[in-house]
Amino acid sequence: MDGRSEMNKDRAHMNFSNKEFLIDVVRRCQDGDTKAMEIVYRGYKSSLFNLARRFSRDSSSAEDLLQEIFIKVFTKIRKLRSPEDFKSWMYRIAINTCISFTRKKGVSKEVFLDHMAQAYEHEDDSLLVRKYLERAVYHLPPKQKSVFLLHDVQGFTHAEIAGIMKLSEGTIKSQLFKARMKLRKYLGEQTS
Amino acid sequence: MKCREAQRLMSDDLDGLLRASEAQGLERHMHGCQVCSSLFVEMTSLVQEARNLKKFEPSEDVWRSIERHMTSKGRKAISPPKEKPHVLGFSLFHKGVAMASGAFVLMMVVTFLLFHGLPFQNMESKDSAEYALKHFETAEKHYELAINALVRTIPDYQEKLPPDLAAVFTENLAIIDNSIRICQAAISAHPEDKAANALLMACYKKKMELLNDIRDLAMRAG
Repeated sequence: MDGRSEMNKDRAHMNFSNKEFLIDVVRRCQDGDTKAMEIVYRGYKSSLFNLARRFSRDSSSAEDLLQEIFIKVFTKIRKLRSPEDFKSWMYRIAINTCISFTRKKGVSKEVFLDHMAQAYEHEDDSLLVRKYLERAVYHLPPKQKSVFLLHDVQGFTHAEIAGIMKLSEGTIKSQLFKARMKLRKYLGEQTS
Repeated sequence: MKCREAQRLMSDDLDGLLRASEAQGLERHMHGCQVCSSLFVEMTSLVQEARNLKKFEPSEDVWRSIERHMTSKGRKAISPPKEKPHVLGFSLFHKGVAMASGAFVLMMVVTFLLFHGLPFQNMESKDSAEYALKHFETAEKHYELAINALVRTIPDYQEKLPPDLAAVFTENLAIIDNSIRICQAAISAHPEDKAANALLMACYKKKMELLNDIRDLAMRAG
């Protein structure tokens, strides 16, 4: 079986909610199999890119951030003892990398305009609220932003986020509440 | 219910986490509180909008860069982390240093005992002393054969070790050989000296252990 057909076979069965499939792919990654790495990348790139993009200044930085996340994941994957914990482990790396990136680069209001505003410039006026929401999310404190993005944008449960961020569910709920209150206040100011 | 509590419950209500009694309490509060009921509408809308935020996709270049990194520069990173060879919890270098100290202590003990004698010296009968000496001779021959066999292969093994570690082993071997020479000189002067013979056996044993360690560590390193 050549590499491409093997990849197609993997793609056909690509379902990370299937525990056996996930464990098999993770173990292959641990053995340095780049085809397995590509499967992981293609399975999670959109989700992680959307996370990275909301922490970064522009699309190019977001791609750099995504690359940094996956290189960290694949470099450290040998240290992962329980392949079934892969997803939360990977998102933990992603969140930490994004927060660290924000600390290094800082947050700029001006840059946001070039970045997210462009993404919405051809949208209908009725979608202006999403543009404001993007701007508000961009300026949230890192922890609140992480919780909000994982829960309200990506659909993770409180328990999953608690596992990713190594915080209690109570703290996650509290951070989510604070994030929502800040966003609502910001949106209220923008639209009034 | 106060507004502050109602607002906290709102967030949980949006996530479907409220018990029936809490949900009813919140509903009752909002029914009589314009501020909280508007806030609830705004938060519901916010959560809905969050789900509908634009989805972005990275370019294909990102995977190509990751792949390039992992297959070339990253090869080192994904290969099994080069474990420092350990023996009994010591790193190779520490093991070498520990053995050097051991060899040094051995030499000091050999020197001290040869000059001052063992406590049990001259306490046994002549027959038992002769019997012991005969056994020492046999043991010495066996040790010499085993050591010679090991020594022939050691240069190959030493080449596989890091230079600083190989130097430590060479130094240790020299210390032990020196101890052996001291013992042999003492035995040559007093063949019946049981203490000198016992120490000579201890030196041979130490040398065997050291040579075996060199071989084992070289095999792990190589």
